This record gives sequence, C-alpha cells and structure tokens, in this order.
Amino acid sequence: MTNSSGIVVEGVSKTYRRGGRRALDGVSLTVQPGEALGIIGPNGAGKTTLFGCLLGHLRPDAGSISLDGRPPDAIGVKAEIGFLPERLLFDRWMTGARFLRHHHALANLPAATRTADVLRAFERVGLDAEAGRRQVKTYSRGMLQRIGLAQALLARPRYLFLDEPASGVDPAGVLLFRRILSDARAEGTTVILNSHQLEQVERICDRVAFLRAGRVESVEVLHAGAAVKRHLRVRFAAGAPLDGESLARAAAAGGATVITTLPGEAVCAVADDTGATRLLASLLEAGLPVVEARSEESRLERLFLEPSGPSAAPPGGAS
Amino acid sequence: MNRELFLATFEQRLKSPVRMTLSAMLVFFTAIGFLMTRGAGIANTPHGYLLGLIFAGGVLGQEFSSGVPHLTFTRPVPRHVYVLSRWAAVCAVAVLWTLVPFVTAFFMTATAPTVLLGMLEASLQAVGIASVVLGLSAGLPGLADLGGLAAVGMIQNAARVAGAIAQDAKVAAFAGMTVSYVDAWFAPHLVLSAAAYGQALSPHAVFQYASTVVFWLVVAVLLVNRKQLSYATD
Repeated sequence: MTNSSGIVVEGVSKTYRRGGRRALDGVSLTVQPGEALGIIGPNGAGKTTLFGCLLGHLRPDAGSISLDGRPPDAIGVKAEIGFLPERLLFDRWMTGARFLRHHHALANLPAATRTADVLRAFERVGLDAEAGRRQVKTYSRGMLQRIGLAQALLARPRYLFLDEPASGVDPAGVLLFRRILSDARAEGTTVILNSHQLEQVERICDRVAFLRAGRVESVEVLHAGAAVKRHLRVRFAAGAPLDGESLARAAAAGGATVITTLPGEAVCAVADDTGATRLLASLLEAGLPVVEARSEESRLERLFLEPSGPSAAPPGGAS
Repeated sequence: MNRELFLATFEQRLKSPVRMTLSAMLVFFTAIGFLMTRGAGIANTPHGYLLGLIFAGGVLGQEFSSGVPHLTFTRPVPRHVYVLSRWAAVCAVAVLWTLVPFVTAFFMTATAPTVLLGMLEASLQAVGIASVVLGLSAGLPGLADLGGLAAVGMIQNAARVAGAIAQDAKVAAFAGMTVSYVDAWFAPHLVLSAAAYGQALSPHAVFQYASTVVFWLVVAVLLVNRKQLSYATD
C-alpha cells in the first residue's frame, strides 16, 4: 500500500560474498518526502552499496528498506525514481536522442510527447541538437553526465538518486546542475545525493549522513534553520598586542566565538558569510589590526578530517 | 514483452558490425549453395543454428558485463519482461537473416513446399539455439555463453569418437546416449523437411523441442531475477 512515509532504511546490512567484505553494517536512515539527503564518507564506506540497496539492485542480508511503504524493487516505485549512476555505462551504440527516447519509452511516458520531451530534456541540461545526433560513445565525461541527468529527470521522478552527479562537469555545468536540482526540489522531489564534492552537498542538501566502514556515524542538519558554522582564521598585524579578552568580546559582538588564539592569529566560528562580515566589522571597530581573514575547511570537510568521525550521533541510530 | 526493449535489442543487433559481417558471409554462401543444389536438401544446412549463435551470443551476459541493465532496471520493467524481450528480439533478427537464402531460392530455383518447410525448420533451429544461448548467457559473463556451448560441443564430439572406436557395446551405447542428450538439450531442432518426402512428424519431437526451449527461457528468467547488480568498487 502506498503512503507518504518517504524513504525508511532500518538496520540494513550487506556483505559481499566475494571477499566477505561487510559493506553495510546496520544502517538506519529516514528521508522525509521532499527532503535532500547527502551521503558522504571516505572511499569504501558503503555509499554506493547503500545506493544499490535503495534502488533494489542489491538485496540486503538483513534489515529493510521502503519507499513510501513499498519495497525498492516494486514496479510502482520504479515508475517514480530517477537515477544517475556514478559509472556512466549507457547504451553506447545509441545516439543521444535515441538514448533519451529509449528511456522515455521504458518509463512508460506517452509516445505523443516523446520528441518534445526529449528536446526539452536536452535543452535543460545544456546539450545542443548536434549532441542528440552523435553516438553516446563519442561523448565526453561531462556530456555523459549531462545526458545521464537528463534521463534521470525525464519522468519527473518523486525520488532522485544521484551518484557523483557533477563529476567531470565544467564549472558552468556545476552551476547548471545546481539550478536543475533546486528546480527539482522546488517541485517536491526527494533527492539522495552521493558526492565527494562537499561544497555541493552543503549547498543542495538539508541533511547529510556520514558513512564510515558501512555504518552511519552521524547525520548533520545543514539547512532548515540550523546554522552552518564555519571557521575563519584571522591574522593580525605583526607585533600588535593581542588581548584575548577584548578579542573574545569583539567576536561575541559580531555574533562569533573564538575557538583558538595563536601568536598573531585567531580562529573564530561564524555562522555563515554574513557572520564572517559581521565578525570582521566588529574586530575592526574594536581597534584590532586585522590584516587577513581566511575561511577554514567547512564542517563537512572537518568530518572527513576527524580520524574516527564525529561523535554527534550513535552509529546506526540516525534519522 | 516490452516493445521498446524488443526494438532496441533488434536495432542493437543490426548495428553490430561483427555480427552483420558474419551473417552476411554466412547467408551469402548458404544462398550460393541453395542455388547450386536447386532445392535438393534445402534445409540440411546449419545456417539457422549459426545465425542463432551469432545474434544471441552475449544477449544477457554482455549486457550485464557492460553495466547497462543498472539503468534499465531503475525503470518500471519487470526482469522477466526484460529477458523475454531480448530473447524475442534476437530470435527475430536471426530468423529474418535465416530466411534470406530461402527467399532467394524460392524466387530462383526451388520448389515452394521444400522451401517453406526448410524455412520453418531453419527458423526453429535459430530460435532453439537462441533459447539455449539465452539460458547460458543469464549465468555467464560476456560471451562466455558461446564458450560454454563450444565446450559442450567438444564433449559431444569426444562422445562421438568414443562411440565410433569403442570395442565394448556398453561404451558405444553410453557414447550414443551422451551425443543424443547433448543434442536434445543444447541444440533443439525439429526435422520438418523430411515431411516433403512423406515422413510424418513425431509429436514427441515437437514436445521435446518446445519443452527444451521453455526450459532455457525459465532458466534465464530465474537467473536474472536472482541476479544482484554488483557495483564492485565503492
């Protein structure tokens, strides 16, 4: 029976028979309808295996997965998902247009709108008509990503699974992808994004699940009211006297907190870009001789850098 | 059956330069043979069998090795429909090519009844071997299905040789039985052209052919339904 419970993953484990590697170990997650969840983690963390299970390509050894109360391999679910794989293994003998027509037909979309829908899909991802006439095997990595995204969006999916969507795409393409995903989200599409491009994950996702060794180590809220803190390293004029108390007071007045102070430097936590501007204004107003301010790594980058991951949430207990 | 999958597979097979070159050569030489023999023994050629091999080789194994079904299976297409659509498409291409020498012969030399029976027999041969290849291809990667059939053929030939040189009647009987079983399981066919010379078609032979084809289709569907699409490196 269909409901709108979103994606529910409960205690999913998966061990590959070959090599006996445990790729997923009791993963639990929920994704609300219309939400964007990023899945990040180091190589071998189990991200792509989790994708395989979510798409019904792999059968978990234990646990369960449901999309709106239905198993992921149900035909009804398949009609509502779009998928862009990391490895772009498409029908290489087809032309670009034939490839999209093929998926349009497989998605059971009306034949009457096929030509128009395919043309629109090409325009949407910034490919021209000439690309539609070329065989997919002649496409560059960036073009493959674009046509892959076009096929994923063809059927206006309720669930969009994207595995490294902007890999190999030029900066203009990255911006285009971001806009397309924003549009899809505005239409209520639930997005599951697996990406190593952390800036992109931060910009697109509401939450991010950090996977390590097949377990969910934490789920971080990125948007929805939660502040995305970042660290700003501020350098002061050489030899200038730096009073820790006045520095802390000035930082607090700018809505920031001092994390550490070093000779001639301080690292402050700010909420966002506006917070950084407020902090600098406040420091200058307090007469502190600021000569340089540099953004440190983002919170997601810090997740990667922490040796054993964050301790924000118990493993497997994320929601 | 899914119309789009059928058409895409049909087109894919016709756009393969290697398959088309091999088929064209085979059909050309078969047609020459037909024209030279002027209808006599018109169905006693293996070209239906060979065309079945050419077009069905790797029908599932090559696809799964290439990773294309990862995307196809995110579409609302049941796996058994995927299997049967691809089977139907390779059968259709193989049968169309199988008919070319007969059509040539029909217009140039042979008598119509012989040609019609020969067409049907060779077509059934193509369909039969395509079904066997489908079943093997569902469980073997790439073109290993053809390798598997080659291995089976070698076993059959070894049994033939053993049967021919055996001094012991039991060994000869066992070898004969092996040849016959391998033939029934791995090269399903029906001899129809004999009907042109007054021989009746055995219902047992029809049942054996049909059940073998169905057996391999079921094997293919079961294997593909169970198949997990590995991502290997994560």
